[in-house]
Amino acid sequence: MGKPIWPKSSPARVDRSLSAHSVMGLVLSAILYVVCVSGTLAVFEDEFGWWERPAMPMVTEVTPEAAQMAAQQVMAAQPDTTHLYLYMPRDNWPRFVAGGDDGIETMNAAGEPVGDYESPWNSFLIELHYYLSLPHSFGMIIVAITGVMLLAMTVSGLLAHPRIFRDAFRLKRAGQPRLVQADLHNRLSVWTAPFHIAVAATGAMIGLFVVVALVLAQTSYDGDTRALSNSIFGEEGEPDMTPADLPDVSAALSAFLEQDHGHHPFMIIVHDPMTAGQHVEVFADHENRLIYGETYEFTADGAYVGHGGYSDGELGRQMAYSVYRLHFGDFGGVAMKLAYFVLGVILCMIIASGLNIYFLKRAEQGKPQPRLAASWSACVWGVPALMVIALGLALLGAGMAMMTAMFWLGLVGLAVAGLVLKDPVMIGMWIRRATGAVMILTGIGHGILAPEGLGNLYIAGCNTALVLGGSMLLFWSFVQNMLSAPRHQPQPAE
Amino acid sequence: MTGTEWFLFFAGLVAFATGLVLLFTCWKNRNAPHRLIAGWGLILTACVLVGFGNTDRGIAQGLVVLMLLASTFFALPLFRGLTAPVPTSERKPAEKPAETTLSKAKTIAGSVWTFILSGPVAGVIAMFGAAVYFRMAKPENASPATAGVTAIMLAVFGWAVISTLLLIEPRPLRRTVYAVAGLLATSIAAFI
Repeated sequence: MGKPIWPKSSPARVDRSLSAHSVMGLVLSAILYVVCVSGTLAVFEDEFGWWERPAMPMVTEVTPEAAQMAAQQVMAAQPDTTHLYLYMPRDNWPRFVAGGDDGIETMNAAGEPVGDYESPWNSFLIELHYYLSLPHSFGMIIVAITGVMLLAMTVSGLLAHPRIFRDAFRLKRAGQPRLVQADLHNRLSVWTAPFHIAVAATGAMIGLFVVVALVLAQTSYDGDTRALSNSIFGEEGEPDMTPADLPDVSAALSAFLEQDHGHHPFMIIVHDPMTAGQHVEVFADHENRLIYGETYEFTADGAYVGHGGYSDGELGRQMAYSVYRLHFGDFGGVAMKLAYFVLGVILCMIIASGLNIYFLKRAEQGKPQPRLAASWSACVWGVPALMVIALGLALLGAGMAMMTAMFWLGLVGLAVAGLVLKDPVMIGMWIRRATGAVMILTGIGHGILAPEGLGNLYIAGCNTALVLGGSMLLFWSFVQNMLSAPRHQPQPAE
Repeated sequence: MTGTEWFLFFAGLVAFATGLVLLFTCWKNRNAPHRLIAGWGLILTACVLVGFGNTDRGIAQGLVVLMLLASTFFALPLFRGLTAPVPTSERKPAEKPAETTLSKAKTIAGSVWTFILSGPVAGVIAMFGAAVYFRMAKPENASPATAGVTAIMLAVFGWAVISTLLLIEPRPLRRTVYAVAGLLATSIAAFI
């Protein structure tokens, strides 16, 4: 037999890396799991936002006149706002939304307000994913640290994997449960590592930006905490608060469209509206780039000033503006969103199987922890279940605070139920079935309560996904239960 | 995207899939290292092709497709079921001498100390390390945007790597010495 082509690893290094990987996993898995499940669902936040507001009109195009009308309506409602926002329709988001510092509203194609944009479940989901339902400044840093630790677990996991090439395609489905879980954990982790690294790093960069800016302010900018932000995202000019007329948004949009560079405008921001220092910024989608968008500056009269340089300027600016799309998978329409959803589900499976391996190893060592294993199983299936229940509550008119309370109290309750029941398989199965049933009821219930949404592809898609996904969860577990062999019972220690 | 760009993009996707198949066949037949080289070569070529097809967005899209292809390979067998994560056998635990309260307290204190070192202390080392980099890389009379973004990335990746390295070190005393030395070195360098 020839010399193997695979590199060899030091067993001591592998053991120590594995130990480090396990420690991090034990400390962080539960929080990381909540962040990952909520992030996986947040990929479809726009779609579910519309699902919550089915009466919202579909707007595919906004004329310059309609944009001007919307700006007038916002200023009439919020005369003291310091920024005016117009969110224009774009691919996969055929809506028109406008607002200011005190909130945003849905507009029709003529630029007239037709109702609130607020969507409680979406807000609950975003609060959970961005801040773990904690106060924002603190919560965002905690979530960012989970991103750093996910990166650290990727590093330690790769170091702890001595047969990374040798086992590249190996997957045991049956046999010793720990080896089955380890194969699942290792194969999925290795092959989807670029995704973990991308979402963890971009998430951590978003969350830790403020902290790094604070440190750099002390070490390089004489305490100026805005200096880093200004150097990357540009500086706002000196405000001139002398009263002025509303800027000519329609002229700015017309001037942008006349430039005819093929980039679609998706957002307009008026800075310091109705003051002499006001100016208009048009964000345009560059569809072959990862950047969030390029900004095009206009004066209050609609004269073109220049562009921000996020598409062709300094590399740092381009990188900073690419973080958002890379984190949320918003760089290829619904197809990429679905792909990110699948990769997110895989990441959740990796986290779940990681702790499963720990509990199985403990049992093999004669130190079983059936209560904790059942509690973990309850959390693994309970987190998505509680999110689906919150979605059902949204349908019945519940607010964000109620959903947040239900989620965290429910999660604690399920974890305690797991501790009491001591059966990870049974509790997981029942929560799965309950999740499936709630998903089906929510999908059908939405169709009955908001039939006007059924003609909308996005809403119909959400309902179909709920019913199909729910059926899979509900009936899959029945089918699996019928097909599977009798469960192995733990053998008592001799 | 123009017709040529679409062509390059799809050629890249095909190259990704072919590269993956070659890696799989190399894994099945361990005596064919040329397939390993060809497989990785095709994957690298695919990155270039999708990059020409749709620039940086194309590379991201191509890598997502690659990961999905690999995940599908593993997901399909899973639909036939998976052994439940239930222990099938348990070993009798080895007899261990009873721990005293003092030794238990020591273990807990050691765990807390390790957590502090590999979490917050590693983070501070990474932040100050990034600040040192920024001071060195920041241009005198030009925009520091690139240096700033690189410093943020260094802080994030640095924190992850330092945490891992500190946890990998098995001796608590050495771990502490490394962390304290790193903290002192980076903080002095950042503020001088």
